[in-house]
Amino acid sequence: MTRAGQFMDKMSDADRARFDQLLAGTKSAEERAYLMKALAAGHSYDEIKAFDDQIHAHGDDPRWLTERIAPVQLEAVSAQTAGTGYKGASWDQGQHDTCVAASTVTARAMVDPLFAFQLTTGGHPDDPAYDNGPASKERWEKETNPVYDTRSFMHLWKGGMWDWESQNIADDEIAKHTGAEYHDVDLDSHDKRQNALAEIDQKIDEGKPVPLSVHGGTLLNPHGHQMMIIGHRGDQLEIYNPWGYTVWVSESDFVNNHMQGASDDRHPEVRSVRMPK
Amino acid sequence: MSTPQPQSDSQLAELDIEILLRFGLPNPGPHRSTLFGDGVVAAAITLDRLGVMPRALVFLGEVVRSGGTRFAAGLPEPLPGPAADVARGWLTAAAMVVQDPTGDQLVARWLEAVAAVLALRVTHREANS
Repeated sequence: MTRAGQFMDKMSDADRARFDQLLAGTKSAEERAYLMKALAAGHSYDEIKAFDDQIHAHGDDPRWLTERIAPVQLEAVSAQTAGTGYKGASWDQGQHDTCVAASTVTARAMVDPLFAFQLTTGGHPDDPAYDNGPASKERWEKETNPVYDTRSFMHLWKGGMWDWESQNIADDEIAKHTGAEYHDVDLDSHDKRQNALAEIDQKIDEGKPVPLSVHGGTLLNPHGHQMMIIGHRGDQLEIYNPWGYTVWVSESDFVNNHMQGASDDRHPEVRSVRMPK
Repeated sequence: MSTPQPQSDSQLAELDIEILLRFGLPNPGPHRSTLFGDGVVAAAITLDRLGVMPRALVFLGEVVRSGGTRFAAGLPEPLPGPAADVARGWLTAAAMVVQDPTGDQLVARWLEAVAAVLALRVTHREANS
């Protein structure tokens, strides 16, 4: 509850009042406890409200709630193992290689009730097509799967509802691997590059690296390369080149399309950056 | 102001990431910049060599956000396979200096930055293989 208190302290007065109202309207101590747990997991008021909209009808049914929100039960005989699963489908990884360890997926389900609820119900409680054991296992396996496209879970929660379809994201290889949201900024003029610098610096200060595309060559023999801006100091930008090094270039070289120092003579021009959201 | 020197992957891989976390997380400033610059690349190189996929880092970041840095440091396998011990060392170092959800948010963002650089390395390799 310490974490819940810390997050409550960070809420605006308006959200705090609305959250108190939400707690006051709960049907049971269990429903209330899960809302507090969602707060402790760092979810916003809007996310918690949308979550409660989905569970409130069953707020006086502790068994329904526990099954779907706390599917991780420590086995009494050994605190070292956790029996996890939903409606008879056991969540275990077998002998497959995984991207995320099963124990880590389970750990997240233990501390984040919205994540657990998504695993068990797919965001469609009471719909037998989603709210069933095999479907829950499929979702759990996707979390551990090395080839699972990260975007599919990262963008489920849109506008207060679970939405598998709300993915209007530019095709971007880095985003495919990380789920991060970017928007492309074309930098095909001096002024655009100059104007972009302030936002690039801001993103870097927020701890968000900025993917950068450079190019050169001719129409018939074009060259392109992708790097990443990872730092800035004074009028210098630090760039990571996946050829295997970091390099610093001046903002003047960035603005004036003299970027060959960051890669080679084939790629002097800045094409675009992908600005993190 | 003198221009900082370029560094190769092998030089960056020698950086002590636990130290960078302990000095970079508490306050904004040059240590924080190094943590989110060279430190991010050093971590990505280390994990790439251990076969970690970017998504594992993003997922770990979500665990840090939900349960806190200390909770994540106690996981048996914060990252899969041989990277587990490395990640636990980093998270333990971070947990020494992170005390609240704001700090956890910073740790999560650092893990996501590492994931982004790792993704760049992976996509570059896939495109050229």
